[in-house]
Amino acid sequence: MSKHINILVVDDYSTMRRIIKNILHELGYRNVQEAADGNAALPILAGGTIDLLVTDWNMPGMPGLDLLKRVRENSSYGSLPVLMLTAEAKREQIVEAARAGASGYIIKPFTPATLKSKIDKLFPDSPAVSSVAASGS
Amino acid sequence: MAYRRHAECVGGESVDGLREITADLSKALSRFRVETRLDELARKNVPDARHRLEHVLQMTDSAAHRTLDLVEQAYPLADRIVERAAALSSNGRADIRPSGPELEAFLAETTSDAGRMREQLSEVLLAQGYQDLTGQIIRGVLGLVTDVEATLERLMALAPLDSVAILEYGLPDVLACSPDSSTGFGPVVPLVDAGPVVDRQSDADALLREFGR
Repeated sequence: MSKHINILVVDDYSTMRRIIKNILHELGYRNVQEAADGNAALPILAGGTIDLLVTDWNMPGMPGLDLLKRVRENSSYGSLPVLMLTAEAKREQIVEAARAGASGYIIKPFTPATLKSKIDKLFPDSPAVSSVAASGS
Repeated sequence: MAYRRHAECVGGESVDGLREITADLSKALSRFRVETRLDELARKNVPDARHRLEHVLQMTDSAAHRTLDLVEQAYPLADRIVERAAALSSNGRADIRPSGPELEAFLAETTSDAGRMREQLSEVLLAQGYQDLTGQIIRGVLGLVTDVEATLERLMALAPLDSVAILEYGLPDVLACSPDSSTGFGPVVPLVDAGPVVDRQSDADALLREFGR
């Protein structure tokens, strides 16, 4: 079953973008775009086709928190679901992300099952089903 | 010019003498600031960087071994599939077609082995996540190296007692490079990072629920 959610993955490490894209592919999400930083992400978001933003935090130029804030300030895509996917694990940061409007927060290293559950929660009408996610925990 | 001649007549000190005192004071202040920064680098930042790089060594070692473990587990599975297929093929068999039960057994075993190999490939995929995490740590250490370089340059500039050079050089703007909550600290490194850190995904989920997410 192919999921028709368009996902944008933002991370300055191409290896991590590739890993996330592969995991999303396994979960059935085949429409995945990538951006290396917030500045590259914003024009893609402006296109209006993205349904979910998955972003890292610790990135040069525009940290993920700033990207999140820019998204929330925007009048056309301000309510876009945004998942933080990051190694940042300090309590104060998670609180800050929540206050800035993060829809979910995943800590690296993460499992496909965690990513699946966060996406399912945001898009309950098209839950991802795959043997890969079911077996990994 | 006229002002200076006037000032020279005022009070006991000449303007040149005052200028020299100011330059000496400035020299001493610059040296003090550089030495304070060097002390901080030596006591805190450099040991931190060492711990960070040791952690990187350990992470890359673990990730490589994990990947190799998975590869070693997958090899025999692949070999078995090839052997079973070879046994069933018409080469070296008197009867050309495999029997029903033989085929069923082959399909069942191969499906099971291929499924396990698929899981192993997924685990290999996840194991490559080390590159992102170690990369963030290394980038932080690179920042420190740049900082040390700049501070040493300042120190060397102070060594010759050239008052003009001293007044020209400021101190590296280290605050601009320091990580903070907003730009991100990078992955948690044991012995280096203190303070309340969330251990488990469930803790992060609980925090977010407090904000209604």
